[in-house]
Amino acid sequence: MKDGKLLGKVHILDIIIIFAAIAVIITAIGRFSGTEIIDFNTGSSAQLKYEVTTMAYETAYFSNLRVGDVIAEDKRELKGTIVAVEIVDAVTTIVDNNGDVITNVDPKFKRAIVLIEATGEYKNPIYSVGRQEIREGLPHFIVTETCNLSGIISKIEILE
Amino acid sequence: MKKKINFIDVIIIIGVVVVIAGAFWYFTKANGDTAVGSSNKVEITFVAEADNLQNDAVQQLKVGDILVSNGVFQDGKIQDIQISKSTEVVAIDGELIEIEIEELSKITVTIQGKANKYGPYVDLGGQEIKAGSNYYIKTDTFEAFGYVVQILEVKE
Repeated sequence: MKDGKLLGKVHILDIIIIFAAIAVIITAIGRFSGTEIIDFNTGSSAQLKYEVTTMAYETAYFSNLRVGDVIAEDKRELKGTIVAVEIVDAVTTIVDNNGDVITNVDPKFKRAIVLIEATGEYKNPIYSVGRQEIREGLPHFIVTETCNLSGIISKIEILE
Repeated sequence: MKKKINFIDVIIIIGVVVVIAGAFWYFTKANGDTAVGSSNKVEITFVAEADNLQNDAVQQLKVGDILVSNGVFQDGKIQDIQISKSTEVVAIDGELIEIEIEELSKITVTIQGKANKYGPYVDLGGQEIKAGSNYYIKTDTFEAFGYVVQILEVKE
């Protein structure tokens, strides 16, 4: 090596850059061709149908939950829509003045059961729609242009 | 001075172009979702509420009061105010009953204002306007933490 040049001809920095360029080209080919030359693990598309049971809200909060509304996340719409909405009684448990445990329909609050169909992603072993993971029992925000209601995923079906 | 472009330079240029193209693709990939870059102003009318407030405090809020956020008046005002007693659910003799709390009030206000809309995201004075979102009802003389209850109208 003389003056940083291998065999007096090729500079060592040039070689490093060439290797970097080759790595980038290989990964780019892998990306665009779909072959796993280098695995980026980007996940595959998944068609999901899932049901979210909201927390207990006063009925007025459900006014903007509409069938056909597109689900959203921040400033973008996701590939998914609300396909069914059902308002149901919220059941609550309170100890009464006699010390008895009373479980009955809450006179103040209701819950909504919201069915959503969406194209999400399956990145081994996680299903997700936007940034939210989709798994039964997981807290979930139902976000549309007009709603941001929280609930729990109560059912999930993988369509494909 | 005469300079020749050699083979190494060409490879480096190609490498740089590929990196730029790759970065551009990576940061702009859509994933089938619809992202919105620019905003537009919309006229929004919505209902917000705050509960469990001191009875005296809610008297401070008046129809026509202008919203405040980030230390400045916003393009929005209180259009309607409903004051009611706060309630809670209790169990008495085996029954669940909703009772009023005398010393606490609930305000339900209708607000109209000009909001920024970025696709499905609407904000007024830096606060997201969606049913269920946290919302501070704030004027120059009053502030209460509450929630957006319902969007009544959005006009482009």
